[in-house]
Amino acid sequence: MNKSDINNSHMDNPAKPRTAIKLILLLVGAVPLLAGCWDTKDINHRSLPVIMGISLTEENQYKVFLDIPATNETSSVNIVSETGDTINDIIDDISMNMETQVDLLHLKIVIADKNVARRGMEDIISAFNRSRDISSKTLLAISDQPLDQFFSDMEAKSEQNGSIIYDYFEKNAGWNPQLADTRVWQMFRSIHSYTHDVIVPIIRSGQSTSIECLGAAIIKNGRMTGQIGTDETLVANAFYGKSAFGKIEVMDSATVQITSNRLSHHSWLQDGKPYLRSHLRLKVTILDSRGHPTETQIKEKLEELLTLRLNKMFRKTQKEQADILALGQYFRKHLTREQLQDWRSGYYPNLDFKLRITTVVENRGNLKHL
Amino acid sequence: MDKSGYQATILYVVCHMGLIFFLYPSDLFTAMDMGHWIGIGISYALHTAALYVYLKGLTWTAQKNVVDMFRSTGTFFTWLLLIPVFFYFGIAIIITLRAYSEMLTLVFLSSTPLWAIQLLLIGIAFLMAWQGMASMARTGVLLVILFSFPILFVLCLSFQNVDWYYLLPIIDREQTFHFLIKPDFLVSLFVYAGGFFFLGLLPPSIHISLKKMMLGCLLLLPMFLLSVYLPLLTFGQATAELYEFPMLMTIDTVNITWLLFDRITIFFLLSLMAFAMLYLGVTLWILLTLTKRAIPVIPNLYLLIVLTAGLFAISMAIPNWDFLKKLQGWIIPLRMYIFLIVPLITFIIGWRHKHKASRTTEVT
Repeated sequence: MNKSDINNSHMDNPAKPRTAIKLILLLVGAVPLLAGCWDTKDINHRSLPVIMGISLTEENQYKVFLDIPATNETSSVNIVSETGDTINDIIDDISMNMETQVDLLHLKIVIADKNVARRGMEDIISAFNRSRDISSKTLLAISDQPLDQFFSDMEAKSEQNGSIIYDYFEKNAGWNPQLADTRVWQMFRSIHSYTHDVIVPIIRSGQSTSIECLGAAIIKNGRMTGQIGTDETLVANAFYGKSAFGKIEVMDSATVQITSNRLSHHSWLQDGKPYLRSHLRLKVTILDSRGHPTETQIKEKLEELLTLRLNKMFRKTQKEQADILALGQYFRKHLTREQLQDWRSGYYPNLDFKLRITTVVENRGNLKHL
Repeated sequence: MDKSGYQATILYVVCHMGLIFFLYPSDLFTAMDMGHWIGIGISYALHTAALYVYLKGLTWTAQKNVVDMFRSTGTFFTWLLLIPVFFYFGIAIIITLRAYSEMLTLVFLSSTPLWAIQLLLIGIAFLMAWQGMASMARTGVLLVILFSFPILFVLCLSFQNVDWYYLLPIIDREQTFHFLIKPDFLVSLFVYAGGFFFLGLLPPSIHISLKKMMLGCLLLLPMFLLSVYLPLLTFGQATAELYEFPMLMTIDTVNITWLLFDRITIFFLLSLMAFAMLYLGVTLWILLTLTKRAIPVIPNLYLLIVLTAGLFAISMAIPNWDFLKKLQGWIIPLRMYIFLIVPLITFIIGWRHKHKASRTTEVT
């Protein structure tokens, strides 16, 4: 080490013992800051609702239901409700009237009444996105029956566990590919995007199971415009690439399970009319068969069935100008940004869309023959 | 003591990482609605050129820093050249302090008052600047070791919801270069402008290796692209431009059932906040070094306390977010000066110095 280096090191770190002690004291003094706590409320002074229900009263006010898992022994869930003009106003009211503070940090599902969905949810979704504590991953669902009844059924059934509805939708628990899976951020994107629309599951309380799914609602720009069945939802999910482990009953001959799917697209524009040819490759395994159909028969019937379902759904969405399969995305390179803005109204209704489905039977389960 | 040039490079990369992911994407989305890579490419090319020219100028006058170099042009010019630099970095600290504390309240400290977060941030920056550049350089190395993994982990997972079709069209038929003069685009240049001036003030104990700096610069390119393209591919331009912090919203959409934690945003945010604190420390240290050269009689510590208190007071006095945005617009000329003109002047002075030196050797 030469002399200038020594000088520099002396200048950079004054390693005197007294400064070191001072520094250590300073650091120890900073420890209380590390928690970053401010006006903290202990967990037993908070209510953390898991489900929020939103419906409309006859005076066109919102009525909000909150499903709060209880911490005491006697009951497993608390259901509270309140009416008001905005969601935040209502939450504030509930918070005021409860002995604890309502905190929406752990909200998992928002269930909207059909009337709310029909009227449009843009304001609600924007408020959720704006808010500091509601996660943008919160799931959406639409209730087919009045929410009063839905929640009272829920309260009666959820004796063991307060999180039934949540498990119902969760990917690692009770989710099935027949169920649409749409989050708050996707709905927000659908409201503002030129090409993406979404489907939202429609549920009601069931007879023997706690929830029953009736299909999915077609949501265009945050407003419910129509409805599709569970079978069609499965096809839509196959299109999104989320169909794995979905089971399809092929008329009178077999039941198959999708193990994987792949999609490829070819799109072009001719005289202002969009054309799209898609190819869906499915891999399936056979679960059961009726009689002794051949593999080709099953494949043919399956392809026919899926094409039929998709075309039915596609025509419905075309009529409502709601692009739930986000087909407009495949025309991004053909249309300019301004043209893309009228994708839903100007191009989508004229779209010539053909889907070719090829299935490969991966295996026949444990049995060799059909 | 670092002779290999790693510390300087790491400090440079860390300072930029702390800036890129927060305010930059939203500014760029406001400025452009298609062909974002063209905007990023142009600003990145300018950044690389400025960095190269600046470092080249510095290496020609070895053992000297920018202040000494500028001094060779005369006292009046030194003041004229360095006062805008001082003001720019002062305002940069104020803006960063205010914007980052607003962001922290938005994301997770919703009941903590702004002043407390601002005080904490500037307090840490004060401690860092007080300890000097050598300790900050070591801190940079430590931060990289601690936080690279969480950042990379989160960045990889954020691809969960991307829709690659949002990349198209690569070049729109109606692509224009009007965005280059839009104020929002010029504001977005702050990530490219203010993060490398400190290299000219490093003490001689920290070496700069031109090759390593350029490699570090190359490492930043994917970061610039990711910060804009992750939100773009997830939400699309029409939605992404509505968010104040698009990158954080993108990470919020990531849903991982097997992970113990519900929101991975916190990991990402806190890791990058540590980097941003280092940036604040470095910038405060630049101000300290410049003031020290201008008024050498006042001891370092008092100078630093006055600077910190002043900056904290000004950033507290900013009334709201809109004013902050306006303030960023007002300093566009200063930003362009730091970004392009300072490196150029450094280059010219360095070149003249080298020329003179080679002539004197010829004569002797």
